[in-house]
Amino acid sequence: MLDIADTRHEGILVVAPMGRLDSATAGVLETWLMERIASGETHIVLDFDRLFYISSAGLRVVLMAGKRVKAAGGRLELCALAPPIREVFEISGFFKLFDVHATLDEALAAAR
Amino acid sequence: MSFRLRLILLVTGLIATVAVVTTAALAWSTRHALVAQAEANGHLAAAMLAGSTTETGTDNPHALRRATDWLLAIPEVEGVLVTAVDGRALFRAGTISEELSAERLDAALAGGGTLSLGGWETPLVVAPVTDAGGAPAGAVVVALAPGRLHGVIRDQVEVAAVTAVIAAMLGLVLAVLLARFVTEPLEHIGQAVSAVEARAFDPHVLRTVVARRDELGALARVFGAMAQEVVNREAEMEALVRKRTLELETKNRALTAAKHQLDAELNMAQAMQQATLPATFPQHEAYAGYANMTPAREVGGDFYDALLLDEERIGIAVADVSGKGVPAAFFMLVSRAVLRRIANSGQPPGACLTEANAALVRDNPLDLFVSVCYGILDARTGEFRYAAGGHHPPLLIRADGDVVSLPGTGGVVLGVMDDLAYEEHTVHLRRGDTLFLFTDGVTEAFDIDGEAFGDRRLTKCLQNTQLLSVQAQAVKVLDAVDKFAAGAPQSDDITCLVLRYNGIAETMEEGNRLAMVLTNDLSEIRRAALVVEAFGRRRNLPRKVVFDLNLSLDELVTNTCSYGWDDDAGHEIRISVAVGEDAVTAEIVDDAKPFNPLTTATPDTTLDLDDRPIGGLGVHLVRTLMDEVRYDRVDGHNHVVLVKRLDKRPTF
Repeated sequence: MLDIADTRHEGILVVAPMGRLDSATAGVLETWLMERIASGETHIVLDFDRLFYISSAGLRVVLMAGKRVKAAGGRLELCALAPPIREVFEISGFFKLFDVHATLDEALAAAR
Repeated sequence: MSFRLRLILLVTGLIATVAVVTTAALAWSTRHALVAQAEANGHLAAAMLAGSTTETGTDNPHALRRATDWLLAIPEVEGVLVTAVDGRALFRAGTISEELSAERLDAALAGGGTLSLGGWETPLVVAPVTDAGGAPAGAVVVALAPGRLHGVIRDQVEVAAVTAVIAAMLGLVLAVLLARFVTEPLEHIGQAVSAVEARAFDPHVLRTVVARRDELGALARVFGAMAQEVVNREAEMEALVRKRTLELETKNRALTAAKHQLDAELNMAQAMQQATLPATFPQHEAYAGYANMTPAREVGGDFYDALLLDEERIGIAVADVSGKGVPAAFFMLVSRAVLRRIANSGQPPGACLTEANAALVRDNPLDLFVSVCYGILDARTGEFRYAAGGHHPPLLIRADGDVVSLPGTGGVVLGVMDDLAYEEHTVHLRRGDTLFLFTDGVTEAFDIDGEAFGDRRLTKCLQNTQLLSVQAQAVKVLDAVDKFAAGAPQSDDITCLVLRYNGIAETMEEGNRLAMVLTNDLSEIRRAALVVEAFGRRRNLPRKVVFDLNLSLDELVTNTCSYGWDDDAGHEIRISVAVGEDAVTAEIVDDAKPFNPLTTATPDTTLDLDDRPIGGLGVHLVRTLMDEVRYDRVDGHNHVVLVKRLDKRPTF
């Protein structure tokens, strides 16, 4: 239901969910991320380049991941948000919570 | 060895034996005769000496000499000895070395006659001499020349032997001729026997023998009669065998023809039976169905059925009649008719099976029974009620691909016991759920090793098939069963019925207005988004407007689906979108618990990461993105109205 592409860059896990992150699909990403974080991934970049839609359910997952990573002493960076996604982040005040970068390289640099 | 040869040997043997015996007898008698002659000569000599002897015997030497000379003149005599009574040798002449003891002399004299002594090698003859008074005065012993004796005997034997050989040869010739004469009839009979054995008997062979008046003639006549009988019988038998073979071939042809006809009729019966099963599924926008029955033999005992009870309800059934072949097929038609009639009354499944059972118990002369799974789907609500009698409950392939077995209802097969009540069960289907009904021909298909296909394989086969068409789902299972059982004969009818519930997707567009009905399923939101997007494109609405609208609808519908009802049932959410002059208005109507988005607290977006609560964002987004949000509760329904103004300047 939700395709998640993931790669590694020098020990940083880059996660790229594709398509819609809504109430029907958010659970998939949540499970996926929580598993990875629990098994020790603490430097994560959420690459939203392929994401064209996010609802509050998706925001919830990002928030949960952020809290967990912070508790584990890691870093969670975001990048490549499309304008509709940016607007949602804006309204929700998420820009205050997360570092959002324009490109993947910037996010990787920040995540080290 | 042939009879003739035996006969020849026998006769020759006999003649040879006679010749040999004769020769031996002759030799013996010749010797005897010679010895007797010598004895006679001895007596004669003794007589000559009789009157002239005194005690010493030398008183009359002339007489003595005369006697001995006479004796010696005989060629056979070799020597002469004159003894006194006590055995003393008085006078010798010629060659004689024998000494006579008194005892022997006495013995010889006591005998009163001549005694042959000495055996074969040195034959002696002793003749007693008496004096004038007749008293024994001595003895004359004559020695015969053995060589001469032997010579005579040898001559005699030679003659006899030659005669014997000639006799034997003559005998052989005679025997050969005799044998032929005697055995000829037997040989004829022998030939006749061989001829019978070789099945080439000709009575002509025996013609000379049968004319005889002796035992051979009788034998030949009887044999001839028997042989003829045998030949006749054989000819009869062969004729009979040919006739019977012909009859058998004819019957065989008739049998084959009959079998072909029977096969043709059974095939026709199968075609007719297949024709009685509904060929196509009733069409309806809320569901799609497919069913298939593959019989094990030409006519089967399984059936399926799909009946439109009314505009919104469809009844589906699969059933399995006990046994196979023609009786099962008949009962199948009967039970199907019964079930159909009762189902058309519209009663719930449990009640239908109860009534159907009663009817089948009544009219069941062959004591057959049928297992049934019957259910009714209400297309408006997605509610599926079902009951089963001795049958596997349906499988449910959920819209997310999971496969579960619906709970059983504990019913017994129909047609066996009177007065049974059938329980039923209800499930609520969501959009994209699929029901899979089947008979045990699927799960109990055996492979060559005797392993059954089983529930697990069936479940696995149906997993994640929710996107396939109903026909594709059925075919996937049927192919899997086919492949599994490859080679092993199909032991039971295989039937399956697939029903996909699509939900009532009322989407209506009229002018600038869109109306749709969703079921309370999160997957519906995506569908709604697509519909709204398409609608917006056609109305040339700004993309941001469409995005904001969809997100708002998403958040509100998600809340409603997640928290709006306490049951598991399907509920409707009606959404309408209207494009006005300067604004787009959307309305959401549902019968969920009262929920007013306006009264939800606004989350504090200034809190930092650790302090932000997870929930509460959805409604906040709606209130921020939409220009207006209005709420009303009317007749037990929530009404939420969203207004988004159409700015002439797009933000993106």
